[in-house]
Amino acid sequence: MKLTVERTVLVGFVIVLALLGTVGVVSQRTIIGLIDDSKWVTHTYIVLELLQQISFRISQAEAAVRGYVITGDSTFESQYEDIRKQVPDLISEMRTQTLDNPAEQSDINALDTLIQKRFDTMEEGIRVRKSGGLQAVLALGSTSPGRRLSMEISALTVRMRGDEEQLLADRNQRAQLSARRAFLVVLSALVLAMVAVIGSVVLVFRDLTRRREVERMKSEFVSVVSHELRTPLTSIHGSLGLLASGLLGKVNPKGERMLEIAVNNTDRLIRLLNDILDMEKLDSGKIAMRQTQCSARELIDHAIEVMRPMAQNQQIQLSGDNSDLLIYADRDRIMQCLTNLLSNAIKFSEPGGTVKVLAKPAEREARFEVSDHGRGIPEGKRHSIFERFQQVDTSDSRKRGGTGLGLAISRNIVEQHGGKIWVESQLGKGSTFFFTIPLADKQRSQLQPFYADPADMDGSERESNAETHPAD
Amino acid sequence: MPKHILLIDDEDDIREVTAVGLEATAGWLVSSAASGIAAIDLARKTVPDVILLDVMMPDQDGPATLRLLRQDEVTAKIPVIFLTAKAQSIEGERLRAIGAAGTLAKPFNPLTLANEIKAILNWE
Repeated sequence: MKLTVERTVLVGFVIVLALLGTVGVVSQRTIIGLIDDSKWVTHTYIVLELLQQISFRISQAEAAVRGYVITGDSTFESQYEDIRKQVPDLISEMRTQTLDNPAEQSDINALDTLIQKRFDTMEEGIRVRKSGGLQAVLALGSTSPGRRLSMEISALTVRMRGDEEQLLADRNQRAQLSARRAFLVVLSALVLAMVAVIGSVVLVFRDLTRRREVERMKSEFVSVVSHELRTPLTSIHGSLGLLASGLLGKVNPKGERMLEIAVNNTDRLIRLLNDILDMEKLDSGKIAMRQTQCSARELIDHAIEVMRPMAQNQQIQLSGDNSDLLIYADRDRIMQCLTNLLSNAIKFSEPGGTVKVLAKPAEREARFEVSDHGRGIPEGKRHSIFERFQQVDTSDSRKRGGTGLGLAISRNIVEQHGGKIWVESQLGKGSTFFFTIPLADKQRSQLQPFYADPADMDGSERESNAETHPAD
Repeated sequence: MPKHILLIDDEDDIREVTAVGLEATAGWLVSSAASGIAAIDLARKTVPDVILLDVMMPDQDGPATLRLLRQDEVTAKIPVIFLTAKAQSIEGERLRAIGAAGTLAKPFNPLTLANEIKAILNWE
């Protein structure tokens, strides 16, 4: 189920990304198209303007020639010359503007030829006027093709204007169509993307709710089972203890041994039950850390006192230190950490060994250290031992009576205090477990002036380390 | 004079084992009841030196029973020690706040139970 939800969400996001990509591409294309269209509009207006200019120049030239023919005034002739010179530029500008359109190019060529012919007839008129006077020109009138050419030029420019306007209308229609299509694509892509996002979110939320429900049921189950197990265990543990004590009558040596095994294993079962319940409560956040200002030394002394019977039993010396620090912590929980670490250190020490526990200032924290001279922890296990039921040797829980949860619980407690827990170890020489807990505000303000220079602090730490850990 | 203990727990086996333990280790006299309602009656009649009261019981739980014991003139002064599933400091403080003399965590050891009771009540 978990995988399906994750895969569905992934597919959803891929779809959303693809759709957004489509929207991007379509938008970009549409924008480029619109920019292109606006260029075409400008282009059409330029072509139309040029056509109008050419028609106007032809009319002006015709007027100048008419003026010259009637009056014989040479000013009209030079006027004609000026106008005539302007026309080729306009024609060539038209050519450049319509380079991409062969139909228009051939129209321009036709126009150019007609205009040339028209100019030729106008110049013919000027020549005749010069040589033969007004009468000669009037006589020419009926045979000259000038009038016909004028009409042809006018008809061609009108048609060319019409063509250009039609072209613009077609382009506009195409642009509108493509814009509408782009709008539809973008809109549907966005709607689909929204549906995919909403779908994914709904799916994730539903899955989260389901997981939370499962988590709650698991937590409730663990809690109920632990309590239900505790009741019969209380009776078993009590009865066995009474029998083993001999208070109810003597049992033969074999029976005594059997009772001892039963008592030890019941003890272990009870520890396991307590640890499972603790772990579950820490995990589900049911145990809030009740942090107050407390003395690290008092906690260490108390932990040593609690563990002394176990240490004496195994002939292990416990030693604390004299320095005192004020920490900001949940007393009971830090005690639990210290006793867990001490219990491990005692379990893995040889008879006659020493287990040390101390606390030192380290910047804004107190660093607790519990060190033994036991068998050490292989490098590959130094991280995993803080996980649940992960011991160095799988037979440890049976041989040494541990639950496999002590370090996981300790880590959870330390982390809930905002601290860290780790181990340094040398095989065959021993291990030191460290954990950090925030210092109380009062302690911080007292310590700061002395540890203003971090180099100084490191130096003093190394020194004290060397003193307390000759074996390291 | 041996001390007289009234033990209230809905579990028959726990009552029996605890009684045997307290009698064998300290020589105390133990009477017991399976419910809070029965316990109040018994407490009025016998006025024990201490009442060991289970927190979680059907019908009428430990705190409710304690409240009734405190309201009755005859039983108001009898010290009450709660038997909890697991002594947590928060739970312990809450129970002491409503008038408990102390708490003992289950599963307890019947061999050391008498000493723990003595420690809570400062008995010689």
